[in-house]
Amino acid sequence: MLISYTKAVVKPNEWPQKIYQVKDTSHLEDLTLLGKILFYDPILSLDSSTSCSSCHSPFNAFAHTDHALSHGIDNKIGFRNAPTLVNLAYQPIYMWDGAINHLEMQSLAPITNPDEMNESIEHIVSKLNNQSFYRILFNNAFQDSIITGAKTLKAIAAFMASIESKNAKYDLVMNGNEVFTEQEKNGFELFSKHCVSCHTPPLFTNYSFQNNGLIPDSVLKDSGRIRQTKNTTDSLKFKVPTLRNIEFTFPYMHDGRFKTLTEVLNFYIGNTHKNAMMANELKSVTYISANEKVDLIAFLLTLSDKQFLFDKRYSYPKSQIDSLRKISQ
Amino acid sequence: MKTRFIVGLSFCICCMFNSYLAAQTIPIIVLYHQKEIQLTDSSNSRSIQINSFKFYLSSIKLYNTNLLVDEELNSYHLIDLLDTSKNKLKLRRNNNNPFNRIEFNLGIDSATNVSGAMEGDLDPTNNMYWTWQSGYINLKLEGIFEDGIQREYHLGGYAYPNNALQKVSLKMNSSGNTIIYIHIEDFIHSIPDSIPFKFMTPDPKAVYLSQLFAKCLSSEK
Repeated sequence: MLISYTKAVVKPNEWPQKIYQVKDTSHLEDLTLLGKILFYDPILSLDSSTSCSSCHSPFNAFAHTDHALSHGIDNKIGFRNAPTLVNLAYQPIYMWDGAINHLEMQSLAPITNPDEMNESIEHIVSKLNNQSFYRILFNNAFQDSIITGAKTLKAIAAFMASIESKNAKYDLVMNGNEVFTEQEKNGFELFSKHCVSCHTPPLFTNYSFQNNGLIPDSVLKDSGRIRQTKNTTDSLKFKVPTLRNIEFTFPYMHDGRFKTLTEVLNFYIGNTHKNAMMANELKSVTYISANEKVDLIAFLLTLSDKQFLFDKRYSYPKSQIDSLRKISQ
Repeated sequence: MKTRFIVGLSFCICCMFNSYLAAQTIPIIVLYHQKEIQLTDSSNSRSIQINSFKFYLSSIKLYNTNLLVDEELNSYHLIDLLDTSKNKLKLRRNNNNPFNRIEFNLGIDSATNVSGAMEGDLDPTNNMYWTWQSGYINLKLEGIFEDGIQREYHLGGYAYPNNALQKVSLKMNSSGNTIIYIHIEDFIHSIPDSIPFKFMTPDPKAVYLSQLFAKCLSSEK
């Protein structure tokens, strides 16, 4: 059995308007490069040990594969599973519980979290201002070498907004350049019937907050969206994650409790904890066979975008850093 | 000669009606039991010890009776009462028209709260932005008062129904001195026991405390 039947219409290739756009695009290339260099630089953490990429690596679709919870400085363990950073410019709200309202402010959360990077933005600005390397980069991006917190955050946001995955086999099929195998096609039909109302293409999420029937972890005691809204109807609700590149973003769920897609499907097929706040689509269940389960996973694997994983636009900019370091010396 | 006379006459007329009208800076003074507290002078022995006292004033409007005579658009002033360079409201006047009432928001409006990273007084390096949940801290007051208890109040919240922003309107006296007074004991003594001494959550209690604080602002000593 699986989640309830839905007649939601699939509009696979209709990308919505971006919610986040860089306002001043006159030096967008320099701004994005600066953001990328900051993203990969552990200078953003208190002891210069941990960068954004420590938990969001490009070859894992900017997630933290094989780690249930994010890792921080001094071997500290965070509170939640580091999500994939992809197509963020389309996202209206950030973090598993929607705590952050704007892409430019998002990076402040992990930077200042004592269990993650444990740094302050004012200290980061001070450290960056002490490096001629960064003063040159900021001058290129903003036509002003004075480094501020706002500029630092805008640069990181510009890089994060540039990270897009739109070239999976699924996209090629929808564009008429590839075809699904019989197994994938069957999986797509099952997906369209059972999963699409929340994991809506082309983003494969509707960014809503849902209680999917997970029993809360007894140690983490994470109550989800209610932490932000204080509204009891938001108890144990978490943001619906995108399924793009899901092959590489294991483990799954906000606390990383499931290591495989099979475990995820087995959870939804009869193992959810029924409760009053649970998503309506999950309150009743439908049977699917073991073979159909395999077909559904075959479809989910068509959401892997290998070109994205190895896209040099997103990878560590070693050669650019090396040449810029030489100039700044 | 005639021009000089007219300019001189205009200046005299302004001064005659209200000598403070040309002032661009409004001092902000903390009162404790009607006595002025010098927060920037650490050598002063006091019955209270304030370690941090910062807040935002925004959307400044100046009225002469009910007539709007000047307005700051998109203006955000971070007041830091422990910093001599920031413990005054520095008005950016567009004219020298006299005013006898000032209106401002205590805090940051909702639209600005959802508009991403900002520069200047709104830069997150000012330590007036929550990082665990988006939103500006409208007011930060930390210290030890007469009861000897360490108190920390970080008040904010922009989203309905917990928008903590307060609109304040103060009649300014015509004595020539334009000052905003904060009757801090009124605030501290009004805080209900149900509110923790260390309170930093954007919720209905923050709205209530913000309302209490707004009532403690006055142009009268």
